[in-house]
Amino acid sequence: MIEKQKISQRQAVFFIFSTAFGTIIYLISAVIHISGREAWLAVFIGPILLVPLAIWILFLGRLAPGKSIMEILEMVAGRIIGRAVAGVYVCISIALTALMLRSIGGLFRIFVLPLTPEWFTIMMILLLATFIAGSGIEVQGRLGEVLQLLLLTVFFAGLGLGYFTEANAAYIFPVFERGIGEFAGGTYLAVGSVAETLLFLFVMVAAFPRPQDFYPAIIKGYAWVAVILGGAVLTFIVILSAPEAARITYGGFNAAVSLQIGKFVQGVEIFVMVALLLAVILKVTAHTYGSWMAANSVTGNWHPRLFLVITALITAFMAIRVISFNEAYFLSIMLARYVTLPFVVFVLLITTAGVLIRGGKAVRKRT
Amino acid sequence: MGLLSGLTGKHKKNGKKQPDRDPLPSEKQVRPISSYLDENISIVTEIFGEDAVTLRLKIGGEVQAGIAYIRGLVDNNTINQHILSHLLNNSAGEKPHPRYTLKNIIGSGLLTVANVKETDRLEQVIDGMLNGDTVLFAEGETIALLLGTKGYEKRAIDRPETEITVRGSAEAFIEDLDTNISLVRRRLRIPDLRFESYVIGRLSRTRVRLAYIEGVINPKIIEEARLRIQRIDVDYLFDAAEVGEFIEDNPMSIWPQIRLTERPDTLVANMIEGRFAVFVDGVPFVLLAPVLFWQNLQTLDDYVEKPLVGTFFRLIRHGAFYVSLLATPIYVALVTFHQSIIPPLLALRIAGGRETVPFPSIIETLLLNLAIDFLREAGVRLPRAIGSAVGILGAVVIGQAAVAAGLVSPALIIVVSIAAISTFAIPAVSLSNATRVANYLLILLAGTLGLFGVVLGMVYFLWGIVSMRSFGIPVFYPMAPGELYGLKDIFVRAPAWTMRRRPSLLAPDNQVRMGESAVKPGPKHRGGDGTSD
Repeated sequence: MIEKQKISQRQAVFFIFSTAFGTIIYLISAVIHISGREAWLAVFIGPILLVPLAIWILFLGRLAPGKSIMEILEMVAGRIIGRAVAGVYVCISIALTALMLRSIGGLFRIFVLPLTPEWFTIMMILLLATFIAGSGIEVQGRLGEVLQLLLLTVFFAGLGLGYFTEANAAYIFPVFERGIGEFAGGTYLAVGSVAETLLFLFVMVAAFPRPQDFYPAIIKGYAWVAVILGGAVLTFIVILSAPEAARITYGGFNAAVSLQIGKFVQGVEIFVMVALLLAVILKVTAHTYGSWMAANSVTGNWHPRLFLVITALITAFMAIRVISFNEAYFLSIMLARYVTLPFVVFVLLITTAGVLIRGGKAVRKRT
Repeated sequence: MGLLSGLTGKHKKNGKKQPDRDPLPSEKQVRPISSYLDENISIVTEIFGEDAVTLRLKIGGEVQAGIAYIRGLVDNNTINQHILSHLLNNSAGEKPHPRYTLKNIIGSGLLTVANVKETDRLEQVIDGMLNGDTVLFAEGETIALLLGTKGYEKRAIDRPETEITVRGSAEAFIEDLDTNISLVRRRLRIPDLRFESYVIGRLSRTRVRLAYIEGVINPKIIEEARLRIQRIDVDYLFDAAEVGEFIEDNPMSIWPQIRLTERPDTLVANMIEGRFAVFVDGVPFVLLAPVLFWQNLQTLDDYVEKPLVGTFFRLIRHGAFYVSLLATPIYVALVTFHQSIIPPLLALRIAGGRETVPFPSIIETLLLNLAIDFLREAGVRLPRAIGSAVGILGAVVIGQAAVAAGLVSPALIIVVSIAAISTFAIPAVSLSNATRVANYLLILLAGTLGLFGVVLGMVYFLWGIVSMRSFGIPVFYPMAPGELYGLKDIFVRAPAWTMRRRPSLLAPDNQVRMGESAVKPGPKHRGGDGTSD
C-alpha cells in the first residue's frame, strides 16, 4: 500500500512536467522572438541543462529523507538563514503564481468571458488550486497523472489540425538562421523559465520515499518537458513561421483561432484553451503547495491551514494588482531571467556549503 | 422542537444527555436459567406473548419437560418429525431408559435434529428462539437445549433484476442469508473462504457476515473492515447500503466507493481479486469493497464476449458516462458563451429552434433536465406496466407538446434525451445517480462561466474522485496512482490469458492468479507436431 503523503516516481515525472508546462503562456513568443526558427531547439535543450541541478537537489535530499531543501538548510545553516531563505522562496512562488493567474485571467477576459470580471476568474482558479493543494501532495500527484494526459491530448489535438492545413517545412529550415548569441539567449530564457520546476523540487523531494531511487524519474521528467515544450514551439513555427509565431500570445490560443478545415471543423482554439487552463491549474496548485510548505517552515508549522489561506489571499491580491496581461508577460520573463534560476543556485550552494561544514553524517543523525 | 433537536442532533431532556442504552436484553432476561420449568416457560410466554408456542411433556415417562418456539420462525416439519415424535413416543414409555437428563438426551439418539446447543443463560435462549431455534427445558435442570429448527418462508432464487447480462448466470441473491452464502460456497469450494459472523442492530439483531478469501485479500484491508463493522451500533439495520454508509471512507462524496451486487458470480469474481463482501440477512444485495471507480463501468458481459468485442462495448459505456455528464453542460456553454466555435450552419439551426423559447438556455436546460428526472423517478416508483406508459407519455407527448408550444428548442430535446439515455448505459446504478447530481452543478457552471466553468467543475469532481480511498485503496487506481499492468482491464478488456496478476494494491501477497500453462491458445501449445487430436 502506498505510504501517505509520499509520491511515486511516475508522479514525480508528472509534477516536473506540470510545473513546466504552464510557462508556455509566455515562453513561446518570447523564445521565438529571441532565437527565431531555432527556438524549438533552444526550448528542447533548456530543460536538459537543468538535470544536473535537479540531481544536486536529490543528492541533498538523500541526506535527510522526508525533509525539504529549506528544512535541510535550516538544519545546517541555522534557523535564521533557513527561515529567511524559506521566506524568499514563498515570495518567489507567490509572484510566479500571481503572474500566471493574471495571464490566464487576461486570456479569458479577452477571448471567452468578456463580461466577467477578471478577478472572478482568477479567484475561481485560485480557490480550486488552494483546495487541491490543501489535500496534500499525494492527491495532487494522482490528479496530475490524469490531468496531464488530458492536457496533452487536447492541446495537440487542437494544434495537430494545423499540421494538416497550415504546416510548411520551409518555416524550420535552415535551422540556424541567427547567431549563437541569440540561440544562447533563447536557451537561457528556457532554462530560467523551466527552473520553476526546481523550486517545486525543493519541496517535492520531501515526498520521495527514497530520494536515491528517483534519479531516473527526474531525468525522465526533464526529458519529457524538453520533448513536449520543444514540440509545442516547433508546432507553432511549422504552422505560423517564426516571425508570425513571435507575435502570438496566450500560449497559441489566438493562433489556433485561425485553424479550420472546410466549413465544419473550426473552433479548435477551445482545445488549446482547455489545455492552458488545466496547465495553469496544475502549476498554480504546485506553487501554492510549495509556498504553503515553505511558509510552514518559516512559522514552524504554527496553524498550517491558516497559512494556506493567507498564502492564497496574498497570491490573489498580487494577481489582481498586476495591471495587465502585458505587465504579467514581461514580469514573468524578468523572473525567469534574473530571479528563479539564480535563487535556486544560491540555495543549493549555501545548503551544500552547510552540509560540507557540518558533515553529511551529522545531517543524517539529526534526521 | 422535535424536528429542530433532530436536525441539530441534540437529544437532551431536563438538561441532561440521555445515556446510551441497549434495549435488548433487559435486566430481567440477563440471568441464568431457572431450575423450575414453570418459571422458564412463563418468562418465555411473557416475553413473546401470543407468538410463543409452548408445550409440556414427559420424557421417558418421568422427566417433566417443556419446549418453546416462536411461531413463523421455525420449520414445523422438523419439530414434528425430529423432536416431538421422538420425545412423545418415549413419553409413553415404549423405550425404557435410565432417567433422562438434558445432557444425555443429546447422545441418546432421542433427538434427530442436526444442530443442538446447550446453554445455561436465559438471554441465549431468547436469542436462539428469535433466530428460529426451539428450546427444550426440563424440570430441575439449570440448562436448556437449543434445537436448530430454523425455517421460514422465503422466495426462490430468481433472475437478477438490476444487473442483467446477456450470457451470464441467471442466479441472483435473495433475502435469505444462508441461501446467499450457499450460492457463494457453491462457486468457491475452498476452505480458505471465510465467513465471520456479526449481529448488528440493537432492535433488529440483524445477522451480518463478512466474507473474504484468506491468503488472497490484503490482511490490512480485512482488519480495517472488521474494525469498521464492529463500530456500527444502530437500532435497526435495514440494508447492506447502510453498512456501506458506516464503513466507507468518504460518506459525503456523491461518487460510489462500495458496490452492491445481486449476482453471485460478480461477487465471487471480485472476492478472487482480493475484495471482501458483507452479507446482511434480509437483503438481496451484497456489499463489495474496496471498489475502484472503473468497476462501475464494467459488466460481466465484457468477460463473456470476445476481448475485442468486450473492449468495444466497454468503450461505449465509458463514452456514455462522459456524454451523460457533459453533453448538456457543453451545449449550454456553447449556446450561451461560445457561439463562434459552432459551425455556422449548425449555429443557425440551433438559433432558429431557440427563436420562440422565452427562457435563457440555462433555465431551459435545467427545466428539461428536471422534467426528465421527474419522469424517471415516476417510472421507477410506479408498477412496471404503468411505468413504461409514463415514460412513453413523457418522452413523446410532453416533449412534442413542449417543442410545439415553443417552450424548449428541438436541439435541446435531442441533447437532453441523449444524455438521459446515456445514463442508462452506465451499469452501476450508484454511478448513474451520482452522474445525474453532478450534471446539475456542471449545467449551472456552464450557464454562468461557459466552458471555463465546465472545466473547473470537471477538475473539481476529478479531484474529489482521485482523493477518495476505499479501505485505503485509491478509488482511481490503477489510473491514478498509475499502474500500467492494471490498465489492461480498465479501458480495454485484455484477453484472459494476459491478466495473470491480481491488482497489486488489493492482493499484494498473492498476485498470481493463473498457472504457467494458461497461455494464449494456439497450435504450438497443443504439443507434438502442432496438430490436434
